[in-house]
Amino acid sequence: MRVFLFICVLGWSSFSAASVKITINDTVFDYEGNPKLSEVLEPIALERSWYWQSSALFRVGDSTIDKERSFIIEELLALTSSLDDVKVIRQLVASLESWNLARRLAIPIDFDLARVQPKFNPKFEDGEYLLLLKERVETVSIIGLVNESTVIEYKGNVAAMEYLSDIKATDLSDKSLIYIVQGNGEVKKSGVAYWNNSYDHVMAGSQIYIPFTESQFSKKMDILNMKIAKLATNRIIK
Amino acid sequence: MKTCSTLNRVTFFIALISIHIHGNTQESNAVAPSQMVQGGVGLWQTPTARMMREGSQTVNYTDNNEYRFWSSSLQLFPWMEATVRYTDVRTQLYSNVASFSGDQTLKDKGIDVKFRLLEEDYYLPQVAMGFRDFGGTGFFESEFVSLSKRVGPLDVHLGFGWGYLGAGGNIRNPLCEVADSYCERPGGFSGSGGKIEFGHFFKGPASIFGGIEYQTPIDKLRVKLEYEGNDYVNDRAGELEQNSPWNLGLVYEWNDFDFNLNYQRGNTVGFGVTYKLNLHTAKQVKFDKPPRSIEGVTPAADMKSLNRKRLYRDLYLQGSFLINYSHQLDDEMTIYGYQFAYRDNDEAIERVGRILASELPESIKTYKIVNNAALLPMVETEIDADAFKSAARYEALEPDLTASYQRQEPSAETLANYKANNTSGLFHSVNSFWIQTFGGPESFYLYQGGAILSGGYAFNQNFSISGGVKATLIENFDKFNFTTDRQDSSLPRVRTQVREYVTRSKVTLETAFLHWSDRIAPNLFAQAYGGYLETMFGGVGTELFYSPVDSNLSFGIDLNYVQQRSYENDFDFFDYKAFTGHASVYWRPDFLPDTQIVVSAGQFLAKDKGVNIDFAKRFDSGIIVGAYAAITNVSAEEYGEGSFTKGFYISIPFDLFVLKPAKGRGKIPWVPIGRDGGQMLQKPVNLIDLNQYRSPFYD
Repeated sequence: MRVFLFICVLGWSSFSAASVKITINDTVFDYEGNPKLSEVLEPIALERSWYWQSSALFRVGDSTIDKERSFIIEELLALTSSLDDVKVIRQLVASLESWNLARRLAIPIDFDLARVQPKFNPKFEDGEYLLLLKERVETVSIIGLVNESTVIEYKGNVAAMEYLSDIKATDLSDKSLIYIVQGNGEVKKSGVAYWNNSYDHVMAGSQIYIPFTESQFSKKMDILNMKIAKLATNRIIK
Repeated sequence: MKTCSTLNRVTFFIALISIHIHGNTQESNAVAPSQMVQGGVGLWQTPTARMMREGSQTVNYTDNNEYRFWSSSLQLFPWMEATVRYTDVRTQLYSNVASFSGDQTLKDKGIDVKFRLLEEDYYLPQVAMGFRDFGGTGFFESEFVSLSKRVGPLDVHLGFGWGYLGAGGNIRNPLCEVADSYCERPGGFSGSGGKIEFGHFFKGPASIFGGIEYQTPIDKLRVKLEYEGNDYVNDRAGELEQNSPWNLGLVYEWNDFDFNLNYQRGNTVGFGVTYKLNLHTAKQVKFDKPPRSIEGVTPAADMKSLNRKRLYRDLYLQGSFLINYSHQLDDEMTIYGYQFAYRDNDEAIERVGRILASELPESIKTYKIVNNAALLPMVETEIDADAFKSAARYEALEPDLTASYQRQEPSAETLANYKANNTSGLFHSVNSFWIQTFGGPESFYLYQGGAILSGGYAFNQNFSISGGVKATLIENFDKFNFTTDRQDSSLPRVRTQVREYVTRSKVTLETAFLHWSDRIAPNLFAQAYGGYLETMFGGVGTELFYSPVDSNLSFGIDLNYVQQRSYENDFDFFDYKAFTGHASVYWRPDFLPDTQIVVSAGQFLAKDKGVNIDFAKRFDSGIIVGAYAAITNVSAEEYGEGSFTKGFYISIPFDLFVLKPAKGRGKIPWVPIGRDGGQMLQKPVNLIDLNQYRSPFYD
């Protein structure tokens, strides 16, 4: 009798369990089938004036990002033996450890696009997701080789280098480069010094990563910088 | 001297103007690189250390009073710029013999190369080293080292030059302190010209030069000021008066053009125009339907109810796949045929796969698409039908269609199942051709254009007879005042009688030959041929070619016994006979992305022995730029003008010129001097062309 009851409970559970679970901001939605993106967005798309460029979808429970973070931290700690400013590196490690991460899926989240073009309206596979929809924020986050990670006011349509006056970079940071981690997940290297400045635009809600000094004779730091910037695209920033 | 192009579409040149160009957009207040008077990035007369973006190409014309320059500069790699140039010396005649060159002014050609040694950073300038007009007979032969440093909207340059750039000798050559041999620059050239004169490098008078470029607040306007180190005393145009070593001018950008106006030597106004494009990003607008959607389609219930007629028609009309044969098992369908439009393999597979997915029943779990060349199966793409359909319906958040299939050598089963249709019968085609010569004594530009009408009969899948007739429609070769040059030649004249061949008649028989080809083992192909093989030679030959699918290494060997064709009529032969053939290695090294190096060693047409090296770089648009040189046991003196065979070519996909997807290419060679040594037989069929299906480099 007990065995029978147990089987019944199991059967009921599997029948009632949704195959797709999506947390949209703080509300949990369960779906019995595999919804398309437009179906997921439809109930809340017009609720507020969402800034679609910064909307992001994360796969919850994917451990690859945590592993990637661990590898990067290992690399950073290894640098403490060769670089002078150990304190800055430890600060960066602490910052990385504090990041709330999940694997961000490389698809645009845009209700209009999803309704118009099938390729921007994919189907959710079974699993658990976090969908962050945001209104446009008027801030930019500064991360990386700075004395303190900060959030500063968004300056509108100006070049990336205009943000540097608000940043106290460290001796280990590159004087000529920053990495712009745009709100839509794109990463772009931008020249900011007297000899290489360029007019790269920063989206509202983006992160600016202040990198390690790069060298034309070794790609080691370029690769590490890009890894950190890409890791930052997976941050869950509510 | 001879350059020619055989193009499959007459519309080629007309369509040239419709290429849509991206790139070359200016960012920030940095001074975008601009061309100097002689071509290549620089100020007016002097080069800087700056480079264009990789893949950038310019076509330049400048007028400098005594000189006019036509040049083209290409950023082959981020660290290497190459420039070719024709110079028109307005003050000198081509020759003093009026019957030879009339009143044509003196022409010269030159090649420059510049290498980036150091990239600019916060503290260091960018540093480059270059060699100008290094071909041996160059009017402007120079070597230089340049440094460039940007400060906001200013770009500051300092250079150090020898040769033409340093002729003024405004400093003492520091190498002269090291060795006396560096104090004087040797004159003349070795051999018969055309060789790199290493013995001249860094010798004789030296000068410093430099200047600044300024990006004005007017977005498109730049100012360039230069101090040069040449004194123009020993110029090819005669001694030129120089009132000032300072040159100043403006560059204005308009769309893909730069216009410049300058004031040089304190007494001369010059001007020029540059057309800019980028070989990586050049592309054409297409009018084409998107790949078929398979959302909500109802495929056939089973193979019996499959509408094959519709399937084959749609494969042809929507997938551009001409089916020759199909074979089916309970859960597998194989189609054999020819993809005739989509040069991107992934796009071709997606389009054909979507049509198969919408028509074939669900019971078919594997699609095999076999691409043929000349009825021989070349490569098989095996598609996991369920995975393909899932990705094509976007049933995953990050669908990857390419993960659902793989390319491979056709399996023994696939080959055994193939029963080719339409293996015998007549075939025909029409191609256009264009032969051109720059810098000839009769006229700077000589050309001949027309059609090559080809046709033949295939006896079976492997064996055919075919030929081609060349019909000249337009030309100015009637200006030729000689057909065979008067240079002494110790080598058999295997190529230097080319003028005789191309002017004998408006209609000539180019080729007529029997041909056999087959796959004789996995990855191994063979061919044999006999007859009139090319314009100047006939005979018999065979070739073996080994090429694994998607390998970066292939091998070939060919052997031919040929006899020189008569230029007096279409059918006779001269007495000259030769064995010629080469063993070839085709290699795409990992350390040079999108690059192919072909090394062919063997005996050439003039029975000289040696090696031909061909280097080709492919850009993202599909445009390929290449260079080759043949080094044989013929001495420079025996070879004659140019000292050894060398040439350049550019291969352009037709897809860039037409509004519908298209395969095929036009190849435009540029051979500065063509003589008789180091000349290869132009085989009527090349097995390397099969590699474009199996290990694509061209497409």
